[in-house]
Amino acid sequence: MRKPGRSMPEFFRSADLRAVWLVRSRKLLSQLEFWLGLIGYDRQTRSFSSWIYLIYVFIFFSVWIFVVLVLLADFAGQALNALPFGSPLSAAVAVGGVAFIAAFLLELYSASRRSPFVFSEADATLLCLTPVDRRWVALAWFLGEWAARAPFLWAGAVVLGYACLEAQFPGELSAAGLPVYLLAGIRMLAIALPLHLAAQSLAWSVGAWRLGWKRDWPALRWMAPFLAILIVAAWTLSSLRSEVVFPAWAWGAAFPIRAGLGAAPLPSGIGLGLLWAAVGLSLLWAAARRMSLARAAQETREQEALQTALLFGATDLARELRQRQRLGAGKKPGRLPVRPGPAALVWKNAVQGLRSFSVDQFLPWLGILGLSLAIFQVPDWGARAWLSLLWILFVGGRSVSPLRRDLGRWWLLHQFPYSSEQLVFLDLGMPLVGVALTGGVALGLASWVGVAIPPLAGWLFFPGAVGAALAAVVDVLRQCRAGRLLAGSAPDRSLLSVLLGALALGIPGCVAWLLLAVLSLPAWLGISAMLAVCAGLDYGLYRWAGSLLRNVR
Amino acid sequence: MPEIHLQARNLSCSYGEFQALKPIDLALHAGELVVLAGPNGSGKTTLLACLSGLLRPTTGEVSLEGFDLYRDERQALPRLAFVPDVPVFYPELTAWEHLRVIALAHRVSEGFEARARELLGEFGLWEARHLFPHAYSRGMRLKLALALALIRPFSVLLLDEPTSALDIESTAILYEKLLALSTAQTAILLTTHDPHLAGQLHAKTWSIHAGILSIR
Repeated sequence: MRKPGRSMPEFFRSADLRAVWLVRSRKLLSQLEFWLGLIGYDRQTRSFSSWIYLIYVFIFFSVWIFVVLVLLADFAGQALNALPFGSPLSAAVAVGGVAFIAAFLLELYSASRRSPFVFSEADATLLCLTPVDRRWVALAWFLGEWAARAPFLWAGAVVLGYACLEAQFPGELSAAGLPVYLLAGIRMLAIALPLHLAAQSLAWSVGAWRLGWKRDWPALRWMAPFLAILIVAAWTLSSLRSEVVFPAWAWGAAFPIRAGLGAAPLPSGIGLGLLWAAVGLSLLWAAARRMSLARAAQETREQEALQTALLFGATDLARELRQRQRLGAGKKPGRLPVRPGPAALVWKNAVQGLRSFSVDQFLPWLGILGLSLAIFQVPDWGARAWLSLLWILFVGGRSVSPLRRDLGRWWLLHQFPYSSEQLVFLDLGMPLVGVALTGGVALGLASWVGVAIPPLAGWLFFPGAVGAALAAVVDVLRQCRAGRLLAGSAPDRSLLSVLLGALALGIPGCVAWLLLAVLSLPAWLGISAMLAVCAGLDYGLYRWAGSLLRNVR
Repeated sequence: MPEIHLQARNLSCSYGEFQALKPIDLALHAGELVVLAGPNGSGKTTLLACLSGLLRPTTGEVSLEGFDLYRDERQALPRLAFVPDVPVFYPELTAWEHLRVIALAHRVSEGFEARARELLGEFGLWEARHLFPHAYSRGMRLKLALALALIRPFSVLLLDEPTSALDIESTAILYEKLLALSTAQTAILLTTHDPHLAGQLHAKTWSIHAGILSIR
């Protein structure tokens, strides 16, 4: 800790700073190694060729990112022209201002509910229980997180700079115009850096201040929504009184963005941005003095586990951790009726389905609905076949989900007194009802808009869905290993599920085509034969799935 | 001689090249209480996983009261209860709901509430019955797994290190329950590192070393 009378360089060499930096740098380095590993670079190999490779990758991605940003700027430029702000420049200033204010409000909302400083178990042990200066910890954690979150906002700022240029001077990008483009990007980047630093540090200072109190401040959670309403109201009132896009009170945020877009002197804009950043960092430094690291660790341990799971692609674990956060500690029993016997497993699946329902669970159902509609609507069988492959992928994914959830609780699944085939049947029941309902809605919508539904597609819909679902089940079960299941990890589908599903759907389709189009037999005969083949294939897959579940090694 | 409840013939299990269990023959009779002892990595958990159907053995077969564990699942599984050392639960169901679903799946509906109340009360989980298992400590999760096994009827009980995370009071309750179950003709096999456990339970001891089971 800083003692009075110590010189500044000595202060920066303090033991506190070294300890904090040691812990933080290890973590940041491990994250960096992960990303470098993804692009095939091993930091331990310090050979000349690996350095050359790293430089090559850096140049490749820089050019790629530049091209992507320019492409995005093309669309963004058209959007700026379409916005009702008088000129593209005003529109860009408004968009930039709203983006920074929104970023600030979102950070504030998050920081006022839970500690913005995320600590792992190891951090908690190493730092939180020691008397290390909290301000250094706050600063080290803040800068690491700021750098991690900044690239998206920076990219957005650069796109805005390019878009403003595109909107003001439309035309093809030529080699001569490249420096102008690069300069526009650099200008906006130079402004975005301090502005984002200011927005995040201001929001985090509220979080640090909250962590300094022994009791919680529930009212603080309403600060961000209240500020948002206040800003929207003030802006609306200002624009009603005058036609100015940015009212005078918002000058502090608007001026740097104008400077970044070339409508005001750049040094003044950067200066104002840096002033904001200095204010934010000073507030954070002051607020972190009494911050309780133990409380921060307690609040964010699960968040850290979630971030690590997401970083390493452990999606199942991440989903479960999110689920825990959403569910909280407990719940009174629901009113869903339950009966003895196999219905108990259906009840369990229903309760689990209801409690784990979220937007990311709902989107695949929308996908199935959209694809079902498209399959009914497209005019040719080639396009229908491609859409069917996507449909098989979606139906398989949704259908296998309860079984995968049960496989991850391998010992519990064995407490149910049912055969393997029964377990497959009971776990597939609810999703297949969902698929049937979705298909019904799609059929209804298609009929309502007057689409002539091909009879084969209509008849094949449900047995085909059963085949696609069972194909996914077989694919998952064939990859199961008891050791991993006992550790709580169930495998996910592979391409084989799509292949098997395509066969389960394609073979009956081909039989029908052969009988109806080639041999010109009556329609009822062709459809009956198709359904019989489909049922046979589905039954084969069902027995296969049962056998795989019984014989997991 | 009492009736054989659990029997394994020529049971072996390999993980690739590594043979975790050498071919084993064993029989567990009604009312028999056996403690399986052995050092870490000796094959205790693998043996229990094979006997409970969690892991298909490389060779051999397992039967419960004459029903093959794999061919006659529907008859064999209701007779068997298993408690792992680190139980993992459904994150969306509370402790009470876990008990309810297992009991009802075994068609235990009459007297369920009284039985569940008694079990949860004995293990000190009654107040926490509406909590999700992720809000439980390790010991509480183990107690819930024991309650899940005990809420429904069975004739063979397999327990993998059941006392590893239990407090003294709960351990005593578990011993009491095991002795009562044994008296009621349930066959029980449990693994442990505790050298005194067999004596406390007046149980037989089987030992396992490097996948070789010796039955004394």
